[in-house]
Amino acid sequence: MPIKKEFLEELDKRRQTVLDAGGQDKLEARRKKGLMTARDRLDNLFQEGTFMEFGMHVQHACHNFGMEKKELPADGVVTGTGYVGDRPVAAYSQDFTVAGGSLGQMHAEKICNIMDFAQQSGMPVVCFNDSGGARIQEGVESLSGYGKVFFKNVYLSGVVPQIAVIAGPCAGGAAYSPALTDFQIMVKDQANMFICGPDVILAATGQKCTMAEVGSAAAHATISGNIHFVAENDAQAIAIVQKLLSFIPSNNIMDPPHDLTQPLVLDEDPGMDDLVPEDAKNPIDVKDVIGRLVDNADFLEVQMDFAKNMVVGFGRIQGIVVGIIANQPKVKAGALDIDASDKAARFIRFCNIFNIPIVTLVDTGGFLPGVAQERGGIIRHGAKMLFAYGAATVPKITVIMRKAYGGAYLAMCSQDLGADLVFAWPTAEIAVMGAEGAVKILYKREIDKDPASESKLIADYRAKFASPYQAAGKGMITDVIRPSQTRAMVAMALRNTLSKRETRPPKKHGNIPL
Amino acid sequence: MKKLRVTVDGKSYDVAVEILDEQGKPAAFQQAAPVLQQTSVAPPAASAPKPSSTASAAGEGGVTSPLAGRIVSVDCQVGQKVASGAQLVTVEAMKMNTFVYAQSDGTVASISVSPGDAVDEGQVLVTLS
Repeated sequence: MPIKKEFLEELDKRRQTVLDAGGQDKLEARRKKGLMTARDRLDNLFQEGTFMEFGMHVQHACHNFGMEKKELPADGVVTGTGYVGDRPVAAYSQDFTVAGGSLGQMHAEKICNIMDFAQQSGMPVVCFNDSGGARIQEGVESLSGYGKVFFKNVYLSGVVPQIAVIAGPCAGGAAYSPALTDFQIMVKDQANMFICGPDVILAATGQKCTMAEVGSAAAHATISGNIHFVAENDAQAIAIVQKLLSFIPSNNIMDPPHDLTQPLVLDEDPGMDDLVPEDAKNPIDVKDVIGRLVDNADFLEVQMDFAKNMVVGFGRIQGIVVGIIANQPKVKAGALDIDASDKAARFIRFCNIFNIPIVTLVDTGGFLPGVAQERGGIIRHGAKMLFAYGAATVPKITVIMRKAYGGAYLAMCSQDLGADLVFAWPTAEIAVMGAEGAVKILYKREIDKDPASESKLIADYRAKFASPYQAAGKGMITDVIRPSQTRAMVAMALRNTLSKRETRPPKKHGNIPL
Repeated sequence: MKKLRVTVDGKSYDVAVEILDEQGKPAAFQQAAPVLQQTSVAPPAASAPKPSSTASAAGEGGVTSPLAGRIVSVDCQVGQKVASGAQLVTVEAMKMNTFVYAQSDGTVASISVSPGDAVDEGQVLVTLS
């Protein structure tokens, strides 16, 4: 006896109502504008047919202002799980066609529910933010909903990776949910994010500004540093999410997706020797070094438009997933400043949480001098980087390419900050300070007497101390290697540290200088 | 997914190339091309780094120093036609040379620094017309 037809028809009808969301006309209008719908985003993220929806039939909880007579399909947010590659991933996607994607009590409960499931199952969470904000008709219940989502973001932080796509408006308090996740991707042109927009800023302070200046993807990618990636459109945002997931594990007790099927290759790469400029003062493009270091030159750069004097991102070195942190001497001479320190510190901490080995490439003259840096708190910001490296227990491999002076040498994961292996090129200059400055202090009296002697003293100091051999002589360097050996040596070091275990005294958490 | 062997500088790499289907959606999850290659973002004009108080404002065609330092060499001459990307000035800071490049095609209208000068971040070095 088959199931009665009416039951199936009723189910189909209810399903169709939810799939129609704010109406087929609205969905089509979005697609015509080149925007994906909430469900399109999930369909493109997941392998076909793998989406399992949670709470499709949830009804909203608003009983005021005539809302009780309205139906809000799925309460404006689509939640569920699906497969990205061969791994299950949880996701939610706000639906702007349903009451402007506004967040009400049940909407928030659905989000919290899928996040709980992700945490218990140990799977990443991807969210698509596209919402007008709080559902005013629901009053404090809406406000409370935000609070609950924030709490879940924090609860999950460090357990499973959280990736936020800001695909539409994300205004006011709503911006704090993506801000609490690990990576934020903003879609150019169609998205904006701010706490107080231009109207509120004008009313409160009299300052005139445009949305482009305070809330655009460009502003956040370059100036505020609030986001990690800019996507041209929804499809590229999804491609970035998939690419990110290809480097990171599903949770904090798994290893990242290393590919250890290939045998270790220890060939030298003469091209790396060619990258090193003859003149020690001329900058090297560290992205060329990274391109030769990682497999297939495949490097996913994180925050590529922010603090460009520091380059961070993911790659594989002979199959092993690594997080790379590198000075970029082509920008601001590779000096460490407030933004570069913040950028590196956050990335290091992400790698440490998710068991991703860290490879550090050093070529920096030091911390950037300046009134703005000192008054802006370079001590506190630079300390974040020292703290993050010191606290990281994942394998830490450091390559000192050229300049490594003073505090910046220490801050770039020196042996003293816990590097497991430190390689230095013959061009490395590891010293407490530059030759010019050191000579002025060491030979002040001699130079006062005979100013002509200064250049010879500088040359002598440089020859003696601006090399890797003083540090190597004190056992601070594992080995001095040719640049052409770098990929082979780092690959071998990574294999040798794969099973590294380091335990620290139990504590709630350290007190990183925020 | 197609496998190719590419040889660069005598070193061979095995590369997997992916054929995209008509919708432009990747046929499989593994992507060979960097997803970020084409993304470029220009900071909104008004939010560009503020020149420090002692620096003159960067007017139209003004090429500014990206950081505080000392001029090593001026690598262009007044009246010289330069293409975008041409090296104009070398600034030394933090024991490193930083090359300052033309951001657009133009003619060097004036040079306001000479070797040995100390410059501030945001200070105009050269103007192009």
